[in-house]
Amino acid sequence: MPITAGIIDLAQVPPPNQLVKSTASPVALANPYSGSGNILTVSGGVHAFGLHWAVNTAPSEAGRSPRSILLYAEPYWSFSVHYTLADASDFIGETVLSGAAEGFHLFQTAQPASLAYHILPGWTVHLDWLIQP
Amino acid sequence: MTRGFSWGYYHSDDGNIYALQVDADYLVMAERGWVGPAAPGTIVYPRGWTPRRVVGLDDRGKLQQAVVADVTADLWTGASTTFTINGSDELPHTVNVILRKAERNQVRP
Repeated sequence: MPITAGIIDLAQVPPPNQLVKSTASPVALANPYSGSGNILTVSGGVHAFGLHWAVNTAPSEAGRSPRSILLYAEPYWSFSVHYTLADASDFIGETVLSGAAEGFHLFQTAQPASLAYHILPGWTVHLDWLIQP
Repeated sequence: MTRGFSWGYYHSDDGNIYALQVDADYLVMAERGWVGPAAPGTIVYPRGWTPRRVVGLDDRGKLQQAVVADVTADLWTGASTTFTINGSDELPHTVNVILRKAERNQVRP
């Protein structure tokens, strides 16, 4: 895709200060999330460049450590970014496993197709897309 | 002079309430969540299980820990970020919480 003045090339992941949070685009998020599933990361020509997460609820029994941010003893969620190759095959890219109560992740390569998540029983997570305004 | 121990009620993650031996001074420190003394005949906390506890650093930078009897206790919820231990110097020492360790138990027959 050609680079046009004022428009960030969609093949590259822009820095965070050029992104905004969204729960509506590219795909409306059904917060809070629990269990496991897949979410599309592109729709209607809009691509997500990353996602932000924050714990919505956690088991009161869970072990944790109050550091710069609350860290749960058990990494409570993970997600894997799926890409579609030129031959239409599904390719799993980076996987993030986290016990941090909040954080964000910018996709290593732009334009993933979907994101597979798994959240441990007892936790629910609020997600936001990171998209271009 | 020894302080002695008592038996307090421990609210386990398995939903049961067991009797667990606790320092008599710690039993009455509200932030630890103890209620007691436990009535005679109360089922004792199973051997091999590890009760939930908070871990902290005392005023000399050494790790200390305290068993927390209930997940609603201030030490567990975070409403209280310090607890007091009785030192071997017979003085109270304040411990700053750095970690909360969940209970480890097994399915009980």
